[in-house]
Amino acid sequence: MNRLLFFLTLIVFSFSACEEIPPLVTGSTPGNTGPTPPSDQLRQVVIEEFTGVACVQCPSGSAIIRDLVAIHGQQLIAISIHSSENFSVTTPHNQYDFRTVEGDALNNYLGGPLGFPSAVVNRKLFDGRSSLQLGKNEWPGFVAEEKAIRPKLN
Amino acid sequence: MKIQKLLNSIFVTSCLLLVTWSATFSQEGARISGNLELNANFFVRDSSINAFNTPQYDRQLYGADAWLNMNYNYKGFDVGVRFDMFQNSYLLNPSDSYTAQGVGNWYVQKSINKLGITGGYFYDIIGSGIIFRAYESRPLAIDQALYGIRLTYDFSDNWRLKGFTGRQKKQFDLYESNFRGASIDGFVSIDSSKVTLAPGFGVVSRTLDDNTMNNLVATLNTYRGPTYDPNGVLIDKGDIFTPKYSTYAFSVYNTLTAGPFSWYVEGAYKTKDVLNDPLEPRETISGDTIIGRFVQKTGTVLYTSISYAKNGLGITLEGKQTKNFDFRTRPQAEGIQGLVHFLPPTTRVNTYRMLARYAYNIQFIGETAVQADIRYRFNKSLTVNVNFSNIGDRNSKELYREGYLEFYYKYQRKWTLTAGAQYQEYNQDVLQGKPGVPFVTSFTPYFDFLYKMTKKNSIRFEGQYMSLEEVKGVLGDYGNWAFGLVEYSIAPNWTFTLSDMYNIKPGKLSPEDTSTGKKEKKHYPRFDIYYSYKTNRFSLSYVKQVEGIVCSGGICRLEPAFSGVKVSVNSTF
Repeated sequence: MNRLLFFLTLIVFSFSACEEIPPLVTGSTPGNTGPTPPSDQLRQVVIEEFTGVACVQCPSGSAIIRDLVAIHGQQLIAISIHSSENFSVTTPHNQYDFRTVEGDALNNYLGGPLGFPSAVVNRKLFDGRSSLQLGKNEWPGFVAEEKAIRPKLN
Repeated sequence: MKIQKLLNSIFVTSCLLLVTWSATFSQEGARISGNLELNANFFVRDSSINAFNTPQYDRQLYGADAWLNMNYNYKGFDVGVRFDMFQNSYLLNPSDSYTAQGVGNWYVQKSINKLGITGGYFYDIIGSGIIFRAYESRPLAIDQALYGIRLTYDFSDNWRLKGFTGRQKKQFDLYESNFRGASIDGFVSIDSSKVTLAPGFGVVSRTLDDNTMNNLVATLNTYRGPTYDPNGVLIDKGDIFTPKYSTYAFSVYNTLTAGPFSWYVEGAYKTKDVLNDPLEPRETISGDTIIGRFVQKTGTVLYTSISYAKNGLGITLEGKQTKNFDFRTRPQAEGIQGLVHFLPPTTRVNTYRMLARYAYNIQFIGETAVQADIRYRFNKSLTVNVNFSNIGDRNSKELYREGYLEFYYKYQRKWTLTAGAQYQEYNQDVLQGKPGVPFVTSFTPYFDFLYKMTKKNSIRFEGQYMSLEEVKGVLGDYGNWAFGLVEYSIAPNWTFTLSDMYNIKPGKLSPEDTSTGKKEKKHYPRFDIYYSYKTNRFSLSYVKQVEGIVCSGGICRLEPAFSGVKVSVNSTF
């Protein structure tokens, strides 16, 4: 029984870590961001987004891209490509098909997305990822990560 | 990463040497066992059923997945190694191609008196898996093995303490977050009665790595921050929060058995954790409102299952309530990726093709579920099974409902007939992530007739008809289906199966005939030959398969159409 108590105490102590020092989260407010002058630029980041007119989640993706452009200014080059088989078809509400041969080829070349919208940042396979394609919650993090790397040439 | 590969190579070489050495000296009591699973796919492009536009159909034409497992056991000392191979595989991402191979698993294990030591990749579970389950499900490329150390200590025959620490496997790599956990499991028998208890308590903690946290903070920094009035008084705190590095999940569980009754109950609590809430709105700094954002919340799960079995009557009642219990190695992981736990499914696991077409997909963010299953054996010939399940989301909005009735009749040893019907209501919008699509309401009668011609030869017929309810005059999804199957078996070696799934009344998503623009009544045939010899099993199949969902234990994924030939080999030695 004493051994049991000893082990239980050990477990309790091993889980009761000290108070964490939290990361600093500032958020953004309209007006405190803007384009970065070219002279101050560190690195350009390219984000290629795959989207479709009939995809319900895609306007959210566009809104996130707009925000990222507002935050990172000229350091971010955003490209949106209509290339989804299912979401690019013409419907009574939409008579345009925005797909291009190049867009479809890019989609195929960069590995098909698991879902739409999806994007590739700097065409880089990030640590711990098995695909170049990233869900929209991952874009801001990887764009910031890539932007923070110092350029080899300036 | 290089060091890990080097260690893997050293380990495999050691294992091979050990096996060679043990074979040479043939130690008494030593045992080598293993198994092979190999699936090869030959892709034949068929744009008429949407089996195209992936690298496999466009240019690769071939793919294979294989797992070769070998274990060695000698005097309480166990070692094991598994070679994994993915060639042009669609298992990881059905619309992409994945190629990699190497040591997918290795472990060493030894019991020293009451202490058990495991090092390497290991699978384990706490309770029913609500706070932690390291497991493998090959059809979905799920391998949640933990790479680390596990210790167990047996205080007595009935009480065991377990502790582990490690990182979760990600194909041939590892996630960066750290895990540690412990549990105590016991067994208590009350002498004077037939009552037994199997209580347990478990705790698991995950600490996010710096890369994940930096990525998360960068994302949160794009969210709307707090706003203040000119006097510095907070008006709105915005959408941001300060994420926690460490999350702790606790679970208490018990199985009580009293004669024909068995009652399992588990309660789990998770401290504040960052999760992706797909329905939470946020306003971007450009003024747009988008749905879906990271939130930080505590989570709970309550799960219970009561069963009674006596005199041919079996009753099982199940209930589960989940609130914000999405527990992952990193909050950015989506779908079935990076999960570290498992929530028990509370729906029937259907195996017939049409009955399994709209299988329920567990919702980690929140659900309230109940299920009742009653089975009664009237006599040696007749058994009846009734099942009902109902699942709502966290706001009590309906997600899934199923009613199921089955009769099983056996006439001497000559023939058996299984027949019944299934009714389903399926929220396709949420469960398959297809926003805006209406509810699928289906009714499917079916039968399965097995006739034994001789001791060795038997023939089996299956028939199913799935009809969907029209919504505002429109037949949703793929519409109505008829399914037929004939299977001829020559025991113990051969089985031949021919089946066809026919889109008898095409729905909104059924493929169109390119020349006429009309919905096509497509056939999806399948032909299989199985050959078994002792512990080896071979199969060759020609398959045309419609888009659908593939599930394993309530974890599901949308899978695109398949067209081509499949070859598989399974062997145990």
